[in-house]
Amino acid sequence: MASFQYFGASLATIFSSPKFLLLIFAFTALGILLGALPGVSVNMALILSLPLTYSMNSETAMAVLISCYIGALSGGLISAITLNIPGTTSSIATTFDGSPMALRGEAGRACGIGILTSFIGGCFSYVLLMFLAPLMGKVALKFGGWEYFAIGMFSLAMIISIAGDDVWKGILASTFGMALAMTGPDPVSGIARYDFGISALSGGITTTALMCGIFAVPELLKLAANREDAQAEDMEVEKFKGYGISARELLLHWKNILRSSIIGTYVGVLPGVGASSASLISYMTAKNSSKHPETFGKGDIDGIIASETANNACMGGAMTPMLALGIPGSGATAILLSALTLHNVQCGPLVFTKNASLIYFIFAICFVSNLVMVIVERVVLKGYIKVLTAPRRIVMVFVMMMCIIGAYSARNSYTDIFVFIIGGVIGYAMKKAGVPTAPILLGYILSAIIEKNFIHAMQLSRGNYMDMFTRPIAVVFLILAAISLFDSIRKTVKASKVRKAAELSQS
Amino acid sequence: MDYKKIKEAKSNIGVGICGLLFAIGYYLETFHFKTNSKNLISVAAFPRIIGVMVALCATVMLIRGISAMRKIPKDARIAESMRAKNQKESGLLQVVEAIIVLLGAASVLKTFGFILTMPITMFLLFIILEKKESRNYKLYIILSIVAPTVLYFVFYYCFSSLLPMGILKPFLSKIL
Repeated sequence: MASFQYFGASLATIFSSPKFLLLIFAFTALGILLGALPGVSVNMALILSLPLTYSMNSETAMAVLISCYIGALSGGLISAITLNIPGTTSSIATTFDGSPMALRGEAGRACGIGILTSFIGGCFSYVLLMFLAPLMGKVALKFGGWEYFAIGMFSLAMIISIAGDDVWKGILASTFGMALAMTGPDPVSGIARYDFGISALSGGITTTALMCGIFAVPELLKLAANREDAQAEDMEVEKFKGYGISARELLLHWKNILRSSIIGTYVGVLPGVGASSASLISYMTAKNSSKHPETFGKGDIDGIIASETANNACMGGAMTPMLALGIPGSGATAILLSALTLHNVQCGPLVFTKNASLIYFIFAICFVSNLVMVIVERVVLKGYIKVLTAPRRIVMVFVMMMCIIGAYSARNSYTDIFVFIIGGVIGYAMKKAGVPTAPILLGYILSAIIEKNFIHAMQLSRGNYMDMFTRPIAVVFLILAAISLFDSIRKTVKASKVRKAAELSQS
Repeated sequence: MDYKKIKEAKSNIGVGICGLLFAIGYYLETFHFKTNSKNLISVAAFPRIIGVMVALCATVMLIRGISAMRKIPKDARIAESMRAKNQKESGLLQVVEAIIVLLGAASVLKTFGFILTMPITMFLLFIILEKKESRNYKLYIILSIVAPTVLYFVFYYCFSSLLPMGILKPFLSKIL
């Protein structure tokens, strides 16, 4: 009951204070704007806002940072759908169905669905966070190196199965992404790999530069290649009302929403796994449990629902180990944790008794920001859709400039601009050859989780890899990974047989 | 139908060859890593595993491409290569131009700074992306000058992020 009292009092404080409401509005809007800009990551949005909070008290600082975090996390869906360039890595899976919907003229509806399901996913995880944070924190503690390694392998197997008709191309793309991730320091000894004497590469390749390159540059080059067909790339957008989906229609997808919320929250609780893995796992689970899996990747709203619900549900999950154990699960929660430390708040099991009022204030901010996010995104959506209807060639040149700024600003490195361009050229060549590019980035992100945790686990088990099979959670995830991989290969072989039979009957 | 098959087979062969070359180079580079004898798992272990995986996938692609190509009748292959010779790859020149402009911008950004480099880059990209008869030079010039300048100051004043000043440093240092 005390938690209800604290939460109620916090909501009353926020709604009775114009200062808090104004700050939440302003920073949620700023977060959405930054999240929607290709090249500006959630972490960058938080880093930009952090210095502003130094002189504030802990409540105000949290209001600013959490609003910005929620806004940026959700804003990524807008550019993922309208431009086929994810604003943040957590929106990669949104491009799979969002972009085909935009090409059909349904960008407004796709964004509306994404916004609403982001809101639902967020609310679900905050409710769990509020009541189960100490308990959920203990779940995170049960995960050791082998479990993280297994979940990494499971996610990798998931990527391969989204590769489309040709599983080998998917495997090739994801292993290429993993290969790129090996650039930089070894996770244990810190010895530089594949830096070729370039000091900037000894720190590794930044995700922002690679993501912008792989998604934005091929779009620009495609426009350049189709110059003579000037009108072909400009899009029509159908008019839409509200969020483009009725409450009744949304309720028809309740199973997908609930499942994706649970997946997002659960994956979010695990430190270091991240929203991009959550949205991917959720997307594949939705595809595998759908009666029409063949419509996924071609503009199925279930794809957007799965991805967006999970990546926002991840936020509440990610805050759980941060608050309950003092373990930051991601770069963004590390920034939030450092802001709390700056204001003398020590996160850990005792935080719920020592700083109960602040913790429930944080929960209240999460709810209010989530609500503000739905309103603000709906307002700015019209503007973004107008951008979509503007000549695509002009929009893409602006996007390119933003990407150059994003690639450079991540660590003020000129080398990252080259990484962005070269990554983009490789991405374009791969697209031309029919190799999917999204697995490159997902392989890149997962590689760090897999390698670091494998080495960590091997050290703990003194080189005995059989130890992995004594861990039930790890074994379950490895079995799931194997099933997923074999299922993908089976489908490819089956499709190839069907194609051959069709050709034979034709001849 | 044959055209589509030949195109797919060719792209599989291309991807296979590029992938194999990449994997070989990637694997060989691991022998240049510094080693630490205290490590239970070598620094090169994961890169080598990944190198082998890339090579394996590339080999599969190559074999598939070659076997698909063999199944296509010789006449169809000859006709396709004649057709490809006669037909210029559409848009390739613009693609190369766009890549050169981007690489050029990245190369001179440090020296000339953001405010000078970006307008030229944007203007050139506008021209590359638009066919001659539809170009609106006035609009391109205005957009190319205004947008980077405004963004430079927005990033400086709103986000405390300093973009490259280049040769304008003496001037910009005074006004910022």
